[in-house]
Amino acid sequence: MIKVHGFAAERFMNMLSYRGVYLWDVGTDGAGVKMKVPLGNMDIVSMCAEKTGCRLEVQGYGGLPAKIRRFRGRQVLTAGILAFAVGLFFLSSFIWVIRVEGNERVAEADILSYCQELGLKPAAWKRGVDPEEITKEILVQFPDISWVSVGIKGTDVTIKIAETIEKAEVVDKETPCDVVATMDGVILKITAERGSPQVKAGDVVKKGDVLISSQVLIGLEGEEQHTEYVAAEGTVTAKVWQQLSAELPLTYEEKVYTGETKTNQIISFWGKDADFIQPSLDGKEADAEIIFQKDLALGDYKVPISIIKEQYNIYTVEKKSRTVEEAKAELAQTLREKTEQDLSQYGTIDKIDVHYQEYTDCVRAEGQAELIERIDEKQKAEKGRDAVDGTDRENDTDG
Amino acid sequence: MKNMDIRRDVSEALDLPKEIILDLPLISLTGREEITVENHKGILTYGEESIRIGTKAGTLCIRGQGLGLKQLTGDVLVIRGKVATLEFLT
Repeated sequence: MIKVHGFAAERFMNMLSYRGVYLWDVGTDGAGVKMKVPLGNMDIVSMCAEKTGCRLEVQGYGGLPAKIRRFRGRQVLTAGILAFAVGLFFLSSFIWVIRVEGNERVAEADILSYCQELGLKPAAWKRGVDPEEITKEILVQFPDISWVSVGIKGTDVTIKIAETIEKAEVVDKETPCDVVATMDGVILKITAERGSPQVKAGDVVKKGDVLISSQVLIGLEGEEQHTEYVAAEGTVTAKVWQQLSAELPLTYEEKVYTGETKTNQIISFWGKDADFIQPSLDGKEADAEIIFQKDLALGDYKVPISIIKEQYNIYTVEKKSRTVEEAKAELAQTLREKTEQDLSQYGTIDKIDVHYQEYTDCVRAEGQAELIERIDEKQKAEKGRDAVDGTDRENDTDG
Repeated sequence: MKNMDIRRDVSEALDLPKEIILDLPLISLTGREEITVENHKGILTYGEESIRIGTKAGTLCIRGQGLGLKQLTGDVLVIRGKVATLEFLT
């Protein structure tokens, strides 16, 4: 940016343009004319000003050449720019994110862990990963996958998968096996699809007893008979008992949250918490609750640093008491819930008998739950042993 | 002047651009805010209200408001501002 004063400003401009100097952003400024000229032509500009008798005044420097001239000699800045470029190039030659697409039955974690064995993992050197090799290996390892494509795009790897059509579940009907009891109980119903039933309704069985044997007698009675071994199958329902007990004190302590909270920030390195500033709780009791956790990561590569934000919920302990009736009701409720939790998907609760014992400071409940459960379980039969066992039982059933 | 007439005839007969053969200015107007003059022969006077440009076809006087030179090279000249009149003085 220069400024010229004088009567022959037009002559000055014409002379410059004649000599091939490029002028732009020409504007009047009071008595003189302001304009911009290239930095490299300053010698011609000053010569022209001298010839035309104009007074030349440099008002400032701008543009890229002037900026480069200003930053010349600042080595640290140059080194920083270079280090940034090198760092970017270095970091972009690793794999940071691995995605699996198209999997429904095969777990993503399985594929990822297998890829890790093959050397494809976050923070792996990109050159060391051969997509074709991995494609082949995955196809060999997972029979449920019919097509794989491993694509590397930048620092991301996308594993696209097509799964095979699901095979129908094959029930093994070849290997001989028995159906045995999983718990003690009284048989209510027995349905044998294959194999010979060893018990009937009303029988008492113990855990491990054979319910349906793999041995089947072939041939009509009176004729020559021989035994064959099959995979026994069937359902057996039985009534089983379960002992329950629980205790509930009459006086108890309960946490009453005051609603006052304090937060605490923690930075965790390699699982060790660095807690620099802890809020003062003034001797009050409080529960810590993690309300925010951020594990730092480069793509999928976990950096062992995490930021945790905790909230302390301050509470006071209050002593409370309940009546015997309340305690009984609560006990009955907990016992029922506990029984329901233990129940298998086929089971139902028949009834629960509870007896209460009252003490001065607590109520004790003891009960017995009657459940209707499926107790059949397949167990691989050992031919030799079963042959002896089976005949024994067969006599029992007949008699 | 005879030389000029021959050139004009040639350019008309061969349909060649006159601004090259006759060295005439080519003036383009963008709305009324920008004027590009090619083949100019230099600035004669320069001001915010009027700019005079020498051309082969005569002195071109541009009047307006807030006029300013945007670019100036040996053969192209760009003026920006609010143009009011465009006049050849001779």
